Parts: sequence; C-alpha cells; structure tokens
Amino acid sequence: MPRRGRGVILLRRALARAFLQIGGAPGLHLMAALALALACFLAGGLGLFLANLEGNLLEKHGHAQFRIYWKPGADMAEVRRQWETIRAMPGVDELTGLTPEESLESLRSTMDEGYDFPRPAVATTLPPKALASFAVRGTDTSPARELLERLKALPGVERVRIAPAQLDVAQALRSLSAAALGPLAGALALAVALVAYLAARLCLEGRRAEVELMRLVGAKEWFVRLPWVVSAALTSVAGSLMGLAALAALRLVLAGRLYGPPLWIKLAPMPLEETAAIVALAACMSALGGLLAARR
Amino acid sequence: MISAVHLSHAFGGHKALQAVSFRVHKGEFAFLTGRSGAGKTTLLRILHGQLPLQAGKARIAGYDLASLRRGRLPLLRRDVAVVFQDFKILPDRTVAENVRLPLEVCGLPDGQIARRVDSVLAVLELERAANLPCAVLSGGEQQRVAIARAMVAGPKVILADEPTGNLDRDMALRLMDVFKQFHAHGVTILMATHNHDIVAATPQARVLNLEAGFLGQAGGACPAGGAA
Repeated sequence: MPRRGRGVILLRRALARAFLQIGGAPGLHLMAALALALACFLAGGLGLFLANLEGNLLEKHGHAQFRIYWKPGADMAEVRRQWETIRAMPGVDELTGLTPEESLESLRSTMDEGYDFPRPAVATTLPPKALASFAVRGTDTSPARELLERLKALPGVERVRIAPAQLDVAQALRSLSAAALGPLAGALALAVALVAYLAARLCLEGRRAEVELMRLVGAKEWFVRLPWVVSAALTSVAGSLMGLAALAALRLVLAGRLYGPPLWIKLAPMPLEETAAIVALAACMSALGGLLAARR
Repeated sequence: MISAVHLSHAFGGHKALQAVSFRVHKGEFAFLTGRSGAGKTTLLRILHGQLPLQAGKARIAGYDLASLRRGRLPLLRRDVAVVFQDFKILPDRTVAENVRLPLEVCGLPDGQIARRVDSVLAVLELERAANLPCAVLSGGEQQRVAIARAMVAGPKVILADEPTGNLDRDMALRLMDVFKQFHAHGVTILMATHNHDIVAATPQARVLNLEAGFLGQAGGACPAGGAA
C-alpha cells in the first residue's frame, strides 16, 4: 500500500482516537472543560473589567483640555475658520468655540437671577475662546506639546492654557493599563495551560498502559501523541466557549444595572477579536499541555 | 538475525549484563535461561529498544542498535515483536481489539486488518472469544491473546520474556506448541525462561545460559525455516 495512503489512514485513526478518548472518559473531560471554562471566565472577566475600566476612566479623565484665547476684538470669521482648522488637527476629539456674546451669555447664566451685564460694553472686552479636547494616547507627551505649539502659533491667538496635572493623570492611566495588561494576560495564559496540562495528564493516567503498549507495538510518536493534543484542544474549545458564554450572560445582566443613576458606567461587550483570541489561546495552550502530558 | 558483541549494561552500580556475546541465526529457536536476576529481561529489553545500549554492539532484524535513530525505533518494533510475562493486554478491550493494535498503528486498511486478525485468532483457537473483553479470559487465554498480538503483524523476530511464567505445566506446553508452529514458518524466536520442562520439550532449540550477567555455554543451533 502506498505510504501516503497509510499516512491518511493513520491520521484518520489518530483523530478518531481523540474522539474515542473523550467518549471513553466523558466525566473527566467534562470536569476538565469546566475547569477551563472557569479559567477562561476569569480571564475574560478580568479582560472585560480592565477594558471597561480603561474606557470609562479615559472617557472621563483621559483627555487633556486646551483653553485657547484669541485677542479681544479678533475677526470672528477668521476665528471660526481657525476653529475648523483645530477640529481637523490630529488628536483633537472635540472643540467647543465661544464667541464673546456666547461667553457673556454663559457667564450671565451663572449669576443670580435678575442680574444683567451691560452687554455691549462687556462683550467687546471678552475674547473669543475655544475649548479643545485632546485624547491622550500612549505615554508619549510630545503630541500634546506639538499641539500646544501649533495652537499658540495660530494668528490672533493670545494665549493657550493647559492643565499639566490633567495630562499627567491621563498618561498615568494609559501607562497603568499598558503595564497591567501584559503580565495579567501572561499569567492567565499560564493558568489555562496548567489546567489543560493537568487535565490531559489526568486523562492519560487512566490510559497509561495503552499508550505504553502502542509504543511497544511500533506506533510512531506522532500517532501516540496526536489524539492527546486533539482531545485536549477540543475539550479546551468547549470549555472556553462555555466560560465566555457565561461571561456574556453576566455582562448582559450587569450592563443594565450599571448604566443608570448614580453610576452611569458603560459595560461594553468583549470585542469578537478578543473573544476569538481567548478561545484560540486556550486551545493552543491545551494542545501544548496534551503534547507535554503524552511525552515519554 | 540477532547478534550481540560484548554487550554490557548496568543499573547504577549493579551490573546486569557483562560482556555478553552471542548470535542467533535467521529461523533459529533459542532459549535464554538463567535464574531470576540473571539479566534475561534486561537483554531482551535492550534488543527491543526499551533500554539504551550502554556498551558493546547489537544487531537485530537488520537494525544496528548502536546507530538506531529514535525515529526508526517504531520500525524495529514492527519487525521485532515481544511477548511479555505479564501479557500487557488491555483488559477492558476485546480480544480482537487487542490483537489488531499492531496493525492499526502501521496504517493497514481495516479490511486487511480484519482478515489477518481472524486468521491469527483461528491459529490460536481464539476465534470464539474474539468479541469478549480480555478481562473475562483465563490466564492461558490471555497469554494466547498476547502471542496473537505479537504474531499478527508478521514479525521477523519474536522476543518472549517468560511467556509461560504465569501458567501451569500443561498450559505452558500447549503454548510452546504454538511458538513451535510459528517457528516452523521461519520466525526467529528468542525466549527467556527458567522453566526446564519447556526447554526439555523443545530439543531443536539452542540454549543460551545467563548467570549473573555473564553468558555461559551455548548449545547447538538448529534453524527451522531458514538458513543459519
């Protein structure tokens, strides 16, 4: 029989053995899947928490605000054109412009009812101004500094103010989340791998004699190990999907309760790419666990 | 078919084999005798690639054990089958499932496997037990399953480690008839035993006597199915 034909038969048998292994010890594989489900639930839950924490914090504190003041009496048509220019600048999320009249109106609304300014006189002394919101990305401060310089250089601009503490808070949040996510993802990947390895090892203990016998009668090493790799990966995919489904259900319940007074916290779902990455990571680590568990 | 030159092996400080040299020709039946702990099992395990070659040279079925790469070990084990004293069968599997294992791992198609399994079970009078789990079989039947598994892939050499060690005298002699039957078809057999009855009942076999790791006097060779 051609060598390739035998290879296909062997591959088919190895894969069939993977399913037979699961069917042969359903309780053990179910427990392993539940352990992996728990690990993925915790991993996904932590990821979801961090991503939402970051999103919520950055929405509230992750922006630096530039207050831009033009010279009093500046040509408003020119100022309005500059507002559009600022809106188009990289990193600027939002810009609120105020003409002298609008500033006066805003000021008046903060005063006691009934008090009124001598409008035309005050309006001429107030400068046009704008509040530009700049999203801080990464820990690099140079984009914010560059924007500051560009704003100062605009014709007619008298001064630009920025709160350095605000910038520092945003940068600190960015660097904190960046520093925390890597080690946490690594620790969770390790936990998933350990659970998968132990599950495969436990399954193997019950079939140690068979594995040994297969080697003694001339089975090639890949034929011995492949069923363990495949069954570990399948168990892991089932487990991780269970865990992530439970997490999605929990998020649905919590999202309704958190987005309301007084919290107003948005709980966004985990992006599909991240969900797929967790499932793939768990499957890969489990396959590795199965491979190591079936070694000589 | 089997040759060893100055083969030595030690487990820590204990020397299990010391400069053992012998040759078993193609188609020959040879007994490896000696007391418990004489080194019989160690020698068979080295020849089957279960233990590394520490010193000396050994060849079996065309494989040089000193230069054998790990990836070729399965090929050696398809040509050299082993019958273990403790049977090493899977008690929860049926007789047929146990016997077909060496053919499954070779990638033989299912139809061919079924034919070969039926044929070897018939020779060993196990066809009626084919679908029974091995756990319900007697010791003698289990040992016959182990022999069937060893023979089914058509090996060039059989290494048998005390195959009658757990059986009564009558059953041992009956099993020896099975080995003689395969030997008559040209299979080379090296059998470790300390059962003098079966040695005496097999006058055509040569005897290699191991004592405390040393090989003693060897008897005359008598190939059955092939040239010496």
